[in-house]
Amino acid sequence: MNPSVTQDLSIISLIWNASVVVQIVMGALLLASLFSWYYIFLKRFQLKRAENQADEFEKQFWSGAELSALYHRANAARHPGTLERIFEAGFREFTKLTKQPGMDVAAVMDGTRRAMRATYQREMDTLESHLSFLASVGSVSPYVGLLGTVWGIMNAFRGLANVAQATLGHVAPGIAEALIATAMGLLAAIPAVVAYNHFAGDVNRLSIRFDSFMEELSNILQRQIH
Amino acid sequence: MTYDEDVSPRERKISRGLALGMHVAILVLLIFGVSWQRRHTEPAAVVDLWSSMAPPKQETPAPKPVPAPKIEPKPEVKPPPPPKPEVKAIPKADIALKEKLEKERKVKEQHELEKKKQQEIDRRKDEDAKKLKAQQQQQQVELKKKDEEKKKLEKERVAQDAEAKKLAAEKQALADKLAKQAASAQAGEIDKYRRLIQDRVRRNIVEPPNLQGNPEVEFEVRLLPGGDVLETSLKLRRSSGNPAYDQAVERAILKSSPLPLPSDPAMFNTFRDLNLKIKPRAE
Repeated sequence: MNPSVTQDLSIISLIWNASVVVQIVMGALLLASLFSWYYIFLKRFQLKRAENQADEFEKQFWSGAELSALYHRANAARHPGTLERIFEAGFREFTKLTKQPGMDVAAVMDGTRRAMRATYQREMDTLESHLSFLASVGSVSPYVGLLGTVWGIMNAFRGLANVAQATLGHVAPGIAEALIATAMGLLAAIPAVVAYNHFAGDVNRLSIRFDSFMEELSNILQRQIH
Repeated sequence: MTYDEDVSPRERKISRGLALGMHVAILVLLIFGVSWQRRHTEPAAVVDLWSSMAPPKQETPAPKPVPAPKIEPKPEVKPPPPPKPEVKAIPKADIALKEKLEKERKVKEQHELEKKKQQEIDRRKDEDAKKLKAQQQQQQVELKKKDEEKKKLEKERVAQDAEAKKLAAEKQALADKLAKQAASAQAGEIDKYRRLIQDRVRRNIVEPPNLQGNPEVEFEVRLLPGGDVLETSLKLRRSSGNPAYDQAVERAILKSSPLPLPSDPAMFNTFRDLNLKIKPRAE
């Protein structure tokens, strides 16, 4: 009944005094948040680099360089970009096919396009990796946080049942600590969702760029046959 | 080409560090944000409103030692030495030579000379007298001056003595006043807390509906040093004649525990055993 006894409601003490289930939920959310931020930064670096390399290669390609010289350079590169790899695969297939006698133009072009498509698929898979993780963190962690909150509030009300005179002071700490789980879930989800949308847009733009490059390269190669 | 080959270890390390930093930043933000909220809401729970706010306890300043007035050493006034009258050598007239050379004129001139001599002597006498007189006058003036100076010094000394006496008296008065103030402050403090206790109890009284007038009820209470009421010590000294009201006051006293006490632990003794006279309405 003494009013001077106040509950310590600092974040740390709330987390420390939470029930085990809520603490597990919080730990999982913290892990999810840590990993999602890790992938956010990693993805940022990767996509930025892919864009820069594509810019560079397109500049070289459209500056009128010899195709075989470009091919040799791409072959020798230690860290070739996506566009370089696509070009390399297509050009290698093209030269192999044109050397074989009795191949008509359509067959050569089909083979070249298939080779480029395969490399493109692999590259896209690399660029899109871990985006699904961000998507699931973004969509699931609010629910996980909510689960922790519901559990914590259930506990708080169960404790209330044993007290004769129920006051808000009996439930407030329990509810506060339970709500922290929701807050953590949202804190993990919001950046993940934003990053996912951002990166998905980036990957989409890159894939369109690669697609159009493939079409243009096939045109150029087809012209070379004649 | 797999994902693992595509990402350099350096990028991984940087990403890991950035992610950790991000979380530390969020945590710090949360901790500080929540602690701010706490600081704002906490006082609301413990506020106590008093009808008469106690002024902050005045600490009676220790009486400053008044420096004893320094009696300056009196400059010894030496009367300037009276100027010595200069004795002038009187040139002697060379009379003898004249007598030898002009014996015949001696008799003749004798008279003249004597006359002259007489004149001279007279004149000198006159002069001497004058000088003496002047000297005497000067001495007199000097004496007077000395006398005056003495008087002045005497006056000064008297004045200084009077001042010292006055200062001592003031000091005494100040000390008396301070002592009186301290005593009255203590008395005032006791009175004030008595009133505060009464106010607090009165606020907690749930008056019975059949209460008439402003009856006084007296309770004997023993307090613990924190101001907590010893429940077993609560005794009804003098009933108000209305048992319902007596009980209401008893409940109010228990509800008011801990009672407000002066912060000075030395004053607790006056509050250990309290006779609480409670009226439902303040006069």
